[in-house]
Amino acid sequence: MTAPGGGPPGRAREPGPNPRNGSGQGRGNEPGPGAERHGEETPGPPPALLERVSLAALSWLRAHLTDFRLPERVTDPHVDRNTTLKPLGELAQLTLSTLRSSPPGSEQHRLSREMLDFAWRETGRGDLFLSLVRGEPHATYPMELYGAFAEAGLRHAAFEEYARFAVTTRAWQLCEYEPTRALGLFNTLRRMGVATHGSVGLGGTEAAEHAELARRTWLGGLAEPWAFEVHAGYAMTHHVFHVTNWGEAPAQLPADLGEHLARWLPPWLDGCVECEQWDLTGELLAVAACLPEPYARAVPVADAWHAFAGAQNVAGAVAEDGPPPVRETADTFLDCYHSTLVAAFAGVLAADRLRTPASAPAGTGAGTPAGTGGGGDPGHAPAPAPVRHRAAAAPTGAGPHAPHVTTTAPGGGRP
Amino acid sequence: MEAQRSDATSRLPDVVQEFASAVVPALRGGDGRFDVVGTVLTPADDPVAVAAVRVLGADVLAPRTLAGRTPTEADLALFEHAVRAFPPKAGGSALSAWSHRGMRAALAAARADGTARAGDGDVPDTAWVAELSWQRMTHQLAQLAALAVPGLAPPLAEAVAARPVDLARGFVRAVRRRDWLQAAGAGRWLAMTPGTPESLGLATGLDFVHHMGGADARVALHVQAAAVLRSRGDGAATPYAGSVRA
Repeated sequence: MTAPGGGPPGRAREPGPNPRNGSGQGRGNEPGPGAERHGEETPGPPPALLERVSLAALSWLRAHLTDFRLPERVTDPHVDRNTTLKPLGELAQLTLSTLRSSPPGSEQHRLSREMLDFAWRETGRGDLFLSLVRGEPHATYPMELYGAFAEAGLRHAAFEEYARFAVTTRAWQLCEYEPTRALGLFNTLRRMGVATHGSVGLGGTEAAEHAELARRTWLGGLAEPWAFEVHAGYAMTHHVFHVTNWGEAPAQLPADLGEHLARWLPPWLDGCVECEQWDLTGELLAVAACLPEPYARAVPVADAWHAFAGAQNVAGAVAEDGPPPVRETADTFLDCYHSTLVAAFAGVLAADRLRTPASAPAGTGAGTPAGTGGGGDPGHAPAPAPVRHRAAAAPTGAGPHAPHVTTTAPGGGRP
Repeated sequence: MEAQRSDATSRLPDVVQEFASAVVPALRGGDGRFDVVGTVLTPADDPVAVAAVRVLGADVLAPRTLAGRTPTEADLALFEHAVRAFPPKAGGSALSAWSHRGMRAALAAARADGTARAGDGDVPDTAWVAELSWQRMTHQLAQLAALAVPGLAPPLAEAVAARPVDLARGFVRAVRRRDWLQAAGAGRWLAMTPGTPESLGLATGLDFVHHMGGADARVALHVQAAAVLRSRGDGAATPYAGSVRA
């Protein structure tokens, strides 16, 4: 299976020097960190818009739940994981995030719960993962996919028994991936409470390793912002998602990266909006909502949100690029599911950041593998309702049998 | 008459290129004098030459104001002709007013013997720099990149210095849109504006713009001007000795 989180190939349409000054046009002030001005307008989108976008998106996904169903013999090698397991894994991870960040009792919360539970049933309550590793014992993607379920308290004991063994092999940890996906594997291990390279305990060594790995990425190495393009863009978004555990722990993103993103997200958004690349636009908006304080609130994203909302049709679908579908066809699901998931994710996260008082500021982002957001019952509730928690200081000492495992599901990009 | 006019209009872009191409090497330093009129093929008395000088504006004298080289009398005469031939319109835009003011300031600097002199007339509006969106602001400023010369337009430079991050965002946007002329103009302003974020990678960015868009001599001109500005150190708007204030 290709990199979960690889992002859609997309039609990389380049913006052109035409006189259209559409998005972000007009008089406006741009407050924010690094900006020198304080404006009267808020940089963020109106809460009502976020509410509308996320609710409509989740409703559309709910209406298309059967399209996420796995084919009969999904574990057969010839079955394309990118059009089967990957979408289901993305559904699981992103509805976990929306469940976690939407107010209990809200429609978004209810829909998220329903779809997360559906996804778990589709995996045969986890039997699928065991079947996958029997066929592909050295693959990493089953663990990557499983992580979101486990974090939600949906567990499969036999699979975990194998997984805990497999992830301690040198081979598993040395699996050759580009740096951003390696960050995802790191998060997977963190969720399972497993140390890297079989070393004892968690803490310093892993943190240093993680920081080193994070720096060797397009984002972490602070590539020039004018070099942004689609491939780099998706690498960047997934870097942020992996490091913050899909928005659960914004403080895990180092402050300098938070500042960097707050500074450069606006022109990146402007370009994606102009090209109508809605999938990437949505991911950038989600990134904005994953930034540590004070950056999440300060980055000017209002214009991009307005444009993004305009790309959603009445049924709640957002196409990967271009206008939303007028009439649904057999292609509509694959054309829209990912961007619509992203719309739900970004909308719920952004609304949550607006509601939440300023929490812990960005840390050094050492990515303490002991886990972030360890809030919630250590002996998790029998009913798998993940507790909403903000990034708290990571309690060290979570061992290999940490009950609250969290794993990153591959969730990026449509196949 | 109409045929003449349309012929002139269609020749203008090429003649602009011709003049810009003559200015670029003169910004690189070298011996003391520069000679635009002597370098180009289009004669100075050709109306299209006058129009081309108006298009390039203050930059025709940038070898003097930025690189300290001495203009020829022929260059000064042509420049003066352009200033007179295209006076500012009453009620014209701030952009146009600034462009004219920049030309007059450059001419005064070129004719002066190194002493500063206050520009005459009302200072055009700079409020737009603070008020426009970062996209619009960058777009407008890039058209005034010829004024990105230390000491040439202090009120404008001061207004720009209040928004380096926004201008940097505009640079990124222009590059993404492959608008190399806008990118080069914005980059040139950034080269003399304190507070330009390091993470932008301005020097490399301008090299990139030059690789991608340098076939347009106007792009090459702004990139070269920016290199001169950066070599002054830290993008600080240090007034060039002998500059005249617009």
